[in-house]
Amino acid sequence: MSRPETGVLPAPEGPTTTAPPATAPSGGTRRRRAPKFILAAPAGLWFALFFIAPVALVAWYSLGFKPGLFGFHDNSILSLDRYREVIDGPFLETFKNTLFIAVTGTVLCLVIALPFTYFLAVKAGPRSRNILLALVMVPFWTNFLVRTLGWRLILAPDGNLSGLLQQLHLTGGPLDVLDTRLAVQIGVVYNYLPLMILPLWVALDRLDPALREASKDLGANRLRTMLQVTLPLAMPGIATGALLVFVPLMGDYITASVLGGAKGNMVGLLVASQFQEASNWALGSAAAMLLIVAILASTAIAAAVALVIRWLLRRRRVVTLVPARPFQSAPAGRAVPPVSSPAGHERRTRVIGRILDVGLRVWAVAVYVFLYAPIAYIVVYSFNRGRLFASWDGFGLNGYQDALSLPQVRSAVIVSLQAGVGTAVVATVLGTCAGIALARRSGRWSTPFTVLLALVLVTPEIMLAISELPWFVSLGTDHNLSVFNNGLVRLVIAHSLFATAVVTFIVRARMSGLDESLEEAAADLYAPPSRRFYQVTLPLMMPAIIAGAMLSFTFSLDDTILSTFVSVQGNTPWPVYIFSSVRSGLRPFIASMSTIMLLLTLVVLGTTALVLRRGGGSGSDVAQTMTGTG
Amino acid sequence: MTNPPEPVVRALAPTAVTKAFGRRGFLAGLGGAVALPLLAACGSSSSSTANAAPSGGGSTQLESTLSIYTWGAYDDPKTFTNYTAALGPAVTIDSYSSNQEMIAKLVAAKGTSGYDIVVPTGPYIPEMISNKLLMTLDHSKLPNLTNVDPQFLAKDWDPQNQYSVCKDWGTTGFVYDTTKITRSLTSWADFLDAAQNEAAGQTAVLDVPEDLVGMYFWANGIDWNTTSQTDLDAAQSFLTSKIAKNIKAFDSYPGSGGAMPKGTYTLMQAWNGDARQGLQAAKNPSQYKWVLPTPATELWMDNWSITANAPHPNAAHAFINYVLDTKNSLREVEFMGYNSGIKNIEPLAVAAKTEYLDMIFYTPAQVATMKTGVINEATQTKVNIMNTVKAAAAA
Repeated sequence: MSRPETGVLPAPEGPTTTAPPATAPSGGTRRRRAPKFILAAPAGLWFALFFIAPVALVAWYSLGFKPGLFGFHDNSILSLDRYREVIDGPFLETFKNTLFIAVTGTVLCLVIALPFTYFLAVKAGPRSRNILLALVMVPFWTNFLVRTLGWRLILAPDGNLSGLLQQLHLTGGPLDVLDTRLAVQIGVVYNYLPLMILPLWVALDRLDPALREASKDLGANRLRTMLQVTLPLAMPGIATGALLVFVPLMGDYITASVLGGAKGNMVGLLVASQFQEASNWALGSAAAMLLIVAILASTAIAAAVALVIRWLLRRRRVVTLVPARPFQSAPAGRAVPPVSSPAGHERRTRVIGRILDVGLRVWAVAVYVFLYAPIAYIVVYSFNRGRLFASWDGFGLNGYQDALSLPQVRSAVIVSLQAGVGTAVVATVLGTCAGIALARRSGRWSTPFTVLLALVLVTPEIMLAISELPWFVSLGTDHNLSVFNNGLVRLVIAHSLFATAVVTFIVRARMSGLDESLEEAAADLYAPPSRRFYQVTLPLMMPAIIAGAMLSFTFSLDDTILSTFVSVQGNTPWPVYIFSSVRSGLRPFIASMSTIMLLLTLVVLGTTALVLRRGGGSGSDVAQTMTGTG
Repeated sequence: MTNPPEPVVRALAPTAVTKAFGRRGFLAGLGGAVALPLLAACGSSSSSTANAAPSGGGSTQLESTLSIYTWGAYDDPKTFTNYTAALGPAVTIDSYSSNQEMIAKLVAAKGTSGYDIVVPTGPYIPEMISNKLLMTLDHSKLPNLTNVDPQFLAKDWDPQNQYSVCKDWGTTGFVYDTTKITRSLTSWADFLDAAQNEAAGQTAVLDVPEDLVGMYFWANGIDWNTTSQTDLDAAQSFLTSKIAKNIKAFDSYPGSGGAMPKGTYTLMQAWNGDARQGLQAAKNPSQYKWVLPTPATELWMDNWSITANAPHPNAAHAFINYVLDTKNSLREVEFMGYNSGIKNIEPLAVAAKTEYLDMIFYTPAQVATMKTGVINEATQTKVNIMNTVKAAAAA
């Protein structure tokens, strides 16, 4: 389990990187300390109660059976039969499909993101790069489902793209991409691309340009510098990105079912349908358990392959670098000048360099077009006068009228915003404390705790969803804790799990990078602990806290799968409202409301950026904070 | 790497452990949970939980809201706004695509779903009653019950209408695009044949196990309520090998959902009212042809019911009574395209010049070809067949 842990987020390697001050010989027992894990305890309890316990419940269900048409589960006879049933049933076939889509999606994301991020981090000017990075994130402040629906508009057989391609005679007839595997592939690459770009950016941004210079000075050409310097140094980013794309993709079924029709049958859907339709909790639980095992196994295999490749590369590098050097140094001496080689060679490399730069630039523009196309369509279609979302019927403002006047729409958006704020508060408080504890008070508890966090992060959402529902219901009805019957409480708890883990890692990363001597200096100046915290530690942590809170808020606002399972009528959040309309008829007001929300988000983001900048952060810090890469 | 999850399975297997953990964990977690009710208090109506509300009793006071869990595009939106304007309670709607989905939601929530009204199909009602999912209807709050045509009352599944009242009934057929399929299709056998030929890869079927498997039985003259394993196996192998790869989508609402008017499918299985809504939305309706397929097909009847723990039982009764009003019912029929079973609704619809009347009302000869489904031991098998077909369709 230690593999995903190091790959999950850009965080320093082990818990031992910061020397635990408690073991420092000097100072004696100047400060009295509570148990080291005390700050992480609330988060730990939260996970125990709302992650470990519910997942254990699912594991338990998977050993039972379905007693009758209306019985959901029965554990009076325990067996592994459900697992056999899953393996004999359509699970394997569907799993193969899902794995294919996920692996292809991950590879495509990497192929698209690598040159793009390289351009952003290496080629773009220091001023523009932060804006360019922020531009990557903006489309992702519109709802996940709405973005995906934007692709339905783009790829429609009677859409503009289809018309254009037909005019150019690139396709024989109308575009036939919707409801195919290709549409699913486009959708998943689109939705998960930023999860690849961000970690890559972090890795490439930290890369010292001097290293590449040195490589060049030592006579390595572009390709070689790329393969032997840049890529190996970007490896942690690639690994993190691959994991961040692959794992959620394995459990996602929303993108696929919106774009893929019958071809979008993902294994997550199979698990969900056992709970939502077939009411066979035992079978669904067994399928979910197998899904997790399969994800861990594929991740392990991928990691092993990556390690083998790295080992092979290292071996080769040692061998090849040695003979290369004398060969390159010979012309440098110019004792025997090879005919016209240096000038010609230089010109050639310059031309190639120019071509490569232009190529990177074009690539980057293409990626931006790709990122913004569905958003543009949504904004345009928000002015659709017609009755159906996807059928353009002329310009009109009916959508906006409906969006603002329909009580259900308003209440769904309000529920989503409340859940988002609640999640941000809970996750930020729990995650910040846990992050501080991990960075400053590490001890024997840190490793299991980090493993727990990593587990939360790699657990596919569908697994969490099917665990939380029975857990909340059993707490609420069997144990009469009626607070768990409240839809908003359920949403906040369910959303806060993943968010807390993310905040913890961000805060830990920030704290580990900070010098503890600042706090000690404050102590030496007789600042009491509370003052030390408010005047030194807290301001230093602020960027991480803000980034964490914003990520938590967005995550909650976007979440569809968890919300579908745990939400209670009367507290239907916006994505769940949209998803249920996907099947029974979408109306233009969905696009209108999304456009309004996008505008509001941009205003909030702009304000936050201003505040952060006023607070003294550099442009780069602000961008990093906003995008959560700080 | 396959090792780690296993200890989880074993270590936490006994219920006693999880229960004890839950209770202890709860006390410990209480500190964190304190913040949540505060948050919840900001929510609009979130403080009224389903459990707290007692069932109607003597009170006749209408609650301020009403939540309905029903099939997609199943009521005229004006019905809700008019009801709110006339009687007060604001209505929220959620939709499902199959009875299984609705029941799964109700059972999983153990009475905390928060829904007041659900609309189950007849055969599911006895099981729902015996599983205590439905509330006994108070007929004194439903004076308009007398408007219902007696032939749609006292059905087998609820002989005294203690738990349910007819909402409407309809049938299952299909629609095809006549620009792509030029021959005339009239039977389920034609449907299955066209799905493998002109409409290969461009066919949509309902996202409902009984209807998917039903096509095969209807086409082959087999009783669609059969429990014969041989028949079910034959259906599965035919659908998986011949039909699955030609399915473009599992779509319960091709018409009202917008795919049909947009030309997404060449051939689609559909319920009559949904197909009618699709024709109404199409730019060129004559392009599509609705077929009531021979030799046999489904007759289904959906029913208004109130959930056992409905938080707003009075508003729910008032709503059901409201839609049983003849004038309101006519508007519903004109919108959704199903026969509401209200006395004289057909002549009224004819008088109101309702569109596509032949898709709403059927002759006795046509009705004689329709058969109601039952719930039996094959029901679970059909769900499994559906999953297998879905997996094969995606391959």
